[in-house]
Amino acid sequence: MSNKTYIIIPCYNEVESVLRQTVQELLDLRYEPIMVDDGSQIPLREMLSDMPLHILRHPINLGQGAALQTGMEYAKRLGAEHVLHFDADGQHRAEDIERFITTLDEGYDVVLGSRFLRHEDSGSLPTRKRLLLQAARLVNLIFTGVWLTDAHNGFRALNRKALHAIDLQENRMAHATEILSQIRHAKLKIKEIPTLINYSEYSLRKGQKISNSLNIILDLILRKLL
Amino acid sequence: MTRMQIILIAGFLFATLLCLLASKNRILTRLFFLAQFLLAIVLTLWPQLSQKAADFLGVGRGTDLILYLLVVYVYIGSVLLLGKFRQQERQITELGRQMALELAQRTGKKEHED
Repeated sequence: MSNKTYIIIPCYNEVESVLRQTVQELLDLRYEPIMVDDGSQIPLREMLSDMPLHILRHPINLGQGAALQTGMEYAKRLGAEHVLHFDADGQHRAEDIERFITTLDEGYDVVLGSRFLRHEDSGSLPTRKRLLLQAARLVNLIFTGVWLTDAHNGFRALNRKALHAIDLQENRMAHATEILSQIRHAKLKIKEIPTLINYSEYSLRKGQKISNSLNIILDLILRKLL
Repeated sequence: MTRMQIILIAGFLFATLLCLLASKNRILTRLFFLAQFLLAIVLTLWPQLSQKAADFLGVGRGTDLILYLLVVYVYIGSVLLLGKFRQQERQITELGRQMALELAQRTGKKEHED
């Protein structure tokens, strides 16, 4: 890596073998992961002490949005040029990162992964999940005015400008919508690129439950009111 | 005085004490609580006052008027409390974040230098 790229990975009670594999793939490609342990029962630094990583730990569980923001604050201190948001559960592919960075270098401030730009990617989605994501797109449009092909795809890349403009206040999952409204507010240039998501049994289990969608919407409404 | 009035007034006095203790050093909050409980006690001693207010506002009974005001009061109170919770959540997040940043560490060996 010629410039400073950091991969921010929020973790909460992950399974060690899955986490090791995710991290090893990043290290093999010479990326620098910043692990944000969001108050897991077994501290991450005990689990991964032998791997060359930056490890931060929230003393209590604060939520994925909070973990991402903590990782970004840390990346700022390290003088990051690019940061990526990456999932711990192995559903994102390390080899896709390069395409995100190339797209940033083309002059975009934020690059978002999308499962709906290529037919073969969206085909791998479970049907229920696909329907839910369509609804989430609509929610995003209503709350942020940003119309994307995908929603709640956790794979994102930010350049330095975006890193300093984004300040996530939504601690839990509503941050995925919040980040869009901040992107719009700061007039950041965004682009979606296709990504393939590996849905393992593990990532589906760790992923969002449908019942949580209403919660996310309520969080967003509350935020508008208070 | 009826027995109910005695029970109510004793309850209000006790609640006043608790509220005053809980709002140390905040004179406006204390005045608000004092005024509120004073009004409650006055209305308990002279219930016909709430009837007069109800007649004036076009509400059937004094008790109905108090019920309506109570609904508004509880609603506003809940919203204010929610706002307070959000504020505290933000403070706790900031605290957790600062701790995480202070105690950040590099594990293992660095494979390469930029």
